Amino acid sequence: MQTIESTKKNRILEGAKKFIKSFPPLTWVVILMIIFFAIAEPSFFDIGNITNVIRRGSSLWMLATMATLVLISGGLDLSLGSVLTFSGVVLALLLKAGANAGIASLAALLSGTFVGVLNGFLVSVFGIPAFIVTLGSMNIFAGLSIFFTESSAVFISDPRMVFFGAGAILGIPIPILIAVLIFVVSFVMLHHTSFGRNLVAIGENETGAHLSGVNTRRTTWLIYVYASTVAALAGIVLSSRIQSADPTVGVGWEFEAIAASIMGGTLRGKGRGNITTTIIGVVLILVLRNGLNIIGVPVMWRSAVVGLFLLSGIIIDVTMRRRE
Amino acid sequence: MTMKTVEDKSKKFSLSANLVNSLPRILILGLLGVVLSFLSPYFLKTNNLMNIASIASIPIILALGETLIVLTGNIDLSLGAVFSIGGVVPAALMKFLEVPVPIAILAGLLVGAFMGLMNGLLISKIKLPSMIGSYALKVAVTGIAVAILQGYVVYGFPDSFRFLGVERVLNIPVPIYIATITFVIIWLILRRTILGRKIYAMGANADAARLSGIKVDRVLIITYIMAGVLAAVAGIVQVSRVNSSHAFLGDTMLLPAIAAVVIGGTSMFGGVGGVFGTVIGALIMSVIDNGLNLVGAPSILQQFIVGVIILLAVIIDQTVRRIADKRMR
Repeated sequence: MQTIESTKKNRILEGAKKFIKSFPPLTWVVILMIIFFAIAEPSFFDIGNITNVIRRGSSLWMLATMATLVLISGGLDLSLGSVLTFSGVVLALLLKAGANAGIASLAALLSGTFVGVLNGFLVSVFGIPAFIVTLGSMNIFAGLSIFFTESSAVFISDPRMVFFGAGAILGIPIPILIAVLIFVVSFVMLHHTSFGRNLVAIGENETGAHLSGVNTRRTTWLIYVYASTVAALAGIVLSSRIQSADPTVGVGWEFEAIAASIMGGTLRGKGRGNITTTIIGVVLILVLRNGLNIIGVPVMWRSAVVGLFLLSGIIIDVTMRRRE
Repeated sequence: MTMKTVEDKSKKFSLSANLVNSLPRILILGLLGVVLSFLSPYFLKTNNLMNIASIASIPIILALGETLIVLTGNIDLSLGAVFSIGGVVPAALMKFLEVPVPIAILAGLLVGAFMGLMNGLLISKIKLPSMIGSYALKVAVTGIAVAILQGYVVYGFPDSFRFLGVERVLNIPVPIYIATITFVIIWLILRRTILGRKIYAMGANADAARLSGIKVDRVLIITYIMAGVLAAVAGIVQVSRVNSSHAFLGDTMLLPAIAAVVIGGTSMFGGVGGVFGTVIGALIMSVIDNGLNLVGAPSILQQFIVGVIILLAVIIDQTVRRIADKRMR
């Protein structure tokens, strides 16, 4: 009896150890950072501030989840930020032209799907390196966003969209519900479907996956389509929340998404990315940005601090992982 | 004796092969010229052509650096930001600290070299994929550039500094000289030095290069330093030409530079291509840009058009390569 109990205890202990080990090393940095900001400026823990951070975070989390999926497949998507911007612009301009909110949202979502189809086609069928394809489409759709809006923000006043961005169901803000939904769908897709297994296989060894019968072309194509479509959804959520579509709102988001994903433990091309711990990277970025803002670091220094912090975060994570 | 003749033959062959490879690009450039001279009577004016060449000099210098990186089978997405900070540092030194012009320029070049070193270390020692390492560096560098100038635009520099960008020697703008000298140096390095051989070898097959005794990490770091310095040179000349500097000056420069490399026929997988093609590619980009201005296309569309051109260029490049591959088999 006793032995069984002790092994049970051991198992629990080991399970707990494993659980803690599965966290990326940066988790501790995030915790330290939260403590630091909380001591430096107690208003950091204001409920208003936290809700604000989480609301902003939902779009970034969606984008980072997508960046992780693409990285796991051995690819890279630099166009996610542009897609986010572009879908907001499509939404706002269609609403302004008098379109129904549902139709406008659908069109905005499909604009993302379109970018994904284009990216996926060029990467999987033509075999062009992903970074150059997505660098091209990033500029195309950033350029189109600026062109269509004549480089000024377009306001969104449709009450349904405003509710979509700012409303809550059962007290939970809708953007967060959507982000959680996307996470669950992506998690199930990655870990419990053959599509997900194929994705990991391609990331580990594309030729090997192809030779063992995986339709690498279709899988690669589909992941870009999925990523861009969700990025467009994130754009709809974001522009509904801030009630305007700014043609430069998404600049740099692709980097934050990729950085969050890497700091959360996604090593490109190794196929062992972790879609769950991506959220650690997202939280790190959100806490850092918000904390710098709250303790009053001048705007001009913020981007340098964030950039250097993320760069060192990526370096720390990658070196520590290699040591393991 | 026999060895020598064989070597000579292979040299001749590679030279003519180079020319054949560049021919389509030269034809495209010529064709664009003909079209534009019909569209606008100003296009073929000596002044306009000189202007194009002078403006093209800056992207050419930047694109030469990117070519080196792409030849090793990597990419540098930070060159636009290095371009900015390479211009921001001397500008800040001259305006805020009244540092003498040569020292300010030297400081700019050193900053470029340092950023190249950082890139090289990130990619060779930390083993980040080049697109991620250089992109992360880009974000950090842009942040630093913003912090240095505190978001301001500085303008109005001493005449001795402006010499680099606007003066003419023998009626030819100075940037053209700088670009030409840079081109010759890089061409010589690639074609006539061991380092050049190593760069090509590494791009063709990094593992094979390492196994055959090439210190791949060192080659990579040196290449990134060269690219960083070239980006800083381009940034300094640009600041001198437009007589103002700000933290985002180079943001729009990176994509046309990469486009020039791709249009110039350097393979994105490394090991194939060269700097001559890049110069033609950069000239094509500049002529298109100039042409759009002449026909009155909205400047707001520039980013869109460059994006489309880059995608078209890689698609065409890939298709041509595939057809060639099939024939080889």
